Amino acid sequence: MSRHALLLIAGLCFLPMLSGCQTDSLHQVLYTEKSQVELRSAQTRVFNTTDKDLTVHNVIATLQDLGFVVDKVDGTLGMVSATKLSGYVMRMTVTVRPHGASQTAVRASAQYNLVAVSDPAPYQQFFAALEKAMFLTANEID
Amino acid sequence: MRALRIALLFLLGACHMHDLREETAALSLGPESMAQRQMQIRRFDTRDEAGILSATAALLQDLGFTIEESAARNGFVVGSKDRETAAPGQSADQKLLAALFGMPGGVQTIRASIVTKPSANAAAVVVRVTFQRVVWSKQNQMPSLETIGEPLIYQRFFDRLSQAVFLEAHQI
Repeated sequence: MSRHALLLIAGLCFLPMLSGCQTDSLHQVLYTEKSQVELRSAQTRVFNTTDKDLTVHNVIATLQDLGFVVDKVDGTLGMVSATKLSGYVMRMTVTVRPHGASQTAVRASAQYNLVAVSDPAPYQQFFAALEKAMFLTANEID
Repeated sequence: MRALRIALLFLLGACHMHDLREETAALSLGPESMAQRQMQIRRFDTRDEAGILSATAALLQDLGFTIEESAARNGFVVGSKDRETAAPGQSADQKLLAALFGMPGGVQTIRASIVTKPSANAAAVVVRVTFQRVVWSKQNQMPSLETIGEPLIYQRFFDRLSQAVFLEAHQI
């Protein structure tokens, strides 16, 4: 077999791998490291208050205390997005919405550089800081 | 800003591994957070929160920032500006000298985020400003990412705001 033919065969062998790369990168669109239930549980706490505006203010203050710079605020939807630069890029979105008649649910989701933060530990720290700002206990969601 | 962020993430993603300890530390309150808060916050004795926010936006414009987002209902405004790292007013000769002596110039994106809210007794407005910047040195491929922590920067910002609204800025 000639050298050219060998090269051609080798090239054909690599082609599926290349197309695999492209497909794999598309998997990132809907990929999550943990199940939806696990993520929601780690990222959500409920507070015994119905004051949404105050909760949004406390979320903003907590993010600022943690060194974030607030990028966007939507009080109507109860959404806050912020970025922290400290040798890394951490981006975070926090949403505040009513939970039943007497509670407010706060959900935080973050990415650290190129990775979604899905472990409960970082969120526990965030909610511990938010608790201090709220003067309320953060309860895990049912 | 979005393109900048993507470029940053691309660079950082190449050299940072996923580390749970770092993620946890990033969301933990540090011992320095109280001092930072005091540096970033001032109280103005007025009930006119919208007026303070408007004066803040005008000050950002004075300082050359472009307003990116604002939400008056939530007392929020954010802006950014791109500048050289050389001190303002540096001549071409000075820049050349700095480069010759190993202090290469670069570019930086500076962001300012301001949040206002009524004080606890609603008799005053509390203003909190945070600055951060990304510095791209001409020598290094990796940008430096930081929250600006120099108290003088915050002091001068509030001095300017104080002059603009004819009110004294009180430390909290």
